[in-house]
Amino acid sequence: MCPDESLLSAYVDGEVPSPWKEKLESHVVECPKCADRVSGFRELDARLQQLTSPDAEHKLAMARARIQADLRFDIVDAEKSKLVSVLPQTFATEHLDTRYKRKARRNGSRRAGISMPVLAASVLVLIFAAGLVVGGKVLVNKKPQSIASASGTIQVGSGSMDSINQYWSSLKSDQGVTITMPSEISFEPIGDPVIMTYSDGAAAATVVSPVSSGTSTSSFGSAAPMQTSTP
Amino acid sequence: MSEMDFRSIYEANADMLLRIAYRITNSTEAAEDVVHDAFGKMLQNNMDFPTNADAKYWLIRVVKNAAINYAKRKSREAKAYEKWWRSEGKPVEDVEAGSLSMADIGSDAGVEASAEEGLLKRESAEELRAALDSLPERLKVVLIMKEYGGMNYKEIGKVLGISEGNVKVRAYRARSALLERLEREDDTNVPR
Repeated sequence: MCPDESLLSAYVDGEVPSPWKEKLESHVVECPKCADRVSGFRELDARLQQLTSPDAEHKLAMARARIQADLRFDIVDAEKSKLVSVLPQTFATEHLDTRYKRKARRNGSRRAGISMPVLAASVLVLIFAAGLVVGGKVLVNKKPQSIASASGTIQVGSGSMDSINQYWSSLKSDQGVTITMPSEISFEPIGDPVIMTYSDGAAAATVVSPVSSGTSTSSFGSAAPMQTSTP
Repeated sequence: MSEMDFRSIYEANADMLLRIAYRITNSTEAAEDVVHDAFGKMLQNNMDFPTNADAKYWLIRVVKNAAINYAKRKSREAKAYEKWWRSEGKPVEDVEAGSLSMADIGSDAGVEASAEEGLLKRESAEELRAALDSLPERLKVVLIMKEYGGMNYKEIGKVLGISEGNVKVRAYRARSALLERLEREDDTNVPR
C-alpha cells in the first residue's frame, strides 16, 4: 500500500525522521507511482528556485545594502534615546535632514516645514519639562545622566540644573539647543511643581529653584531669556 | 538593543526576508519597503527578544503580513482598472495582455528572452509565478517560507502559530495545487 502523499511531500522537504525515512525510500524505489510523485515535487522545487531572475537577485542585494545604510540613523536614534541629549541645533537639524530626505525619497513625499515660533515653543516646553523633573526632584532614576554635546559629554547629577546652565551659557547667543528626555525615566507627581515663563524684555533669564530651603538664581546666556519660578 | 545585536540580526535575516517579501509581492521595491519598515519598527520600539530566533520569527511575521497586505492592495487596484476597462467596452484580454508584457515580468519575474529558448523560459517562469499567485494565501505562504525562506516545518509553524502537522499538510496541498494548475495550463496551451 502506498503512503499518504503528504508524507512524500514531507520526505522531499527532509522532514521525515528515521526509521520512516528509510522505509519510505525503499518503497519509492519499488513503486513507480510514488517515484513519479516524488520526482514531480522535486522538479517543482527546482523550478521555484529558478523563478527569481539574476536581475531581481541583483536588485534585492542592492536593497539589502540600502536598508542597512538607512537604518544606521535609526540605530543612532535608539541609542540616543537612552541619554538626555543636549545637541547644538545645527547638528540636530543636519541629522534630521538626512532622515527626512530618505523618507521623502522612499515615499515620494515632500518634507513639511516647521515655523520658528513653533520650534521655539517646543524648546520652551522641553525646558519647562526639564525644570519640572529637576526642580521638583521627581527623578525616579537617581543615576547621573549623561548630556551629549557636539563638543563632548558632560555629566549632570540628579536634581541639579547647574551643569546644564553652565553648558547653556557657553553657547553662542544665536545657537539653539534640543533637549531629549531619557526614555527610561518615569515621572511621578512628587514635590512642588515649577512654572517656567518666557520673558521678552529681560536681558538674561533667571532660574528660581523650587526647593523649599531657599531661592537660588542662575542666568542663561541666551538671546531668548527665560524665567522659572515657583508658584 | 545594541548596534552589535542589531547587526547580527540584520546579517542573519535580511536576505531571507527580502526573498520572502519579493515572492509575495512580486516587486523588489515593495520587498525593500516592507523589510525596511520591519527593521525600522524593531529599532524604533527598541525591542528586545529573548533569543535571536524570536527576533527572526517576529520579523518574518511582520514582513509576511505587510507583504500580503501590499499584494492584496495591488490586486484590488488591478481589479478596479479592469472594471473600468470593461466599462469602456474594451475586451478584458487587452488588459491581461498589457499586464503580462509589463516591465516587471521582463526584469523582475522573468528570465532573459533574447532567443526562442529564452522566451519559452520566460513564459514558463511567468506561468509558474501566476500559478503561485493564484494559490490560497494560507498555502502559498507556507510554500514560500519553505522554498525562499529556507525554513523547516517547526519554524514555519512557530511563525504562523500552527502545528508542524498542519504545516506538512499545507505544504503538500500547495505543491499539489500548483502542479495541477501547471498541468491544466499546459493542456490549454497544446495546439489543436
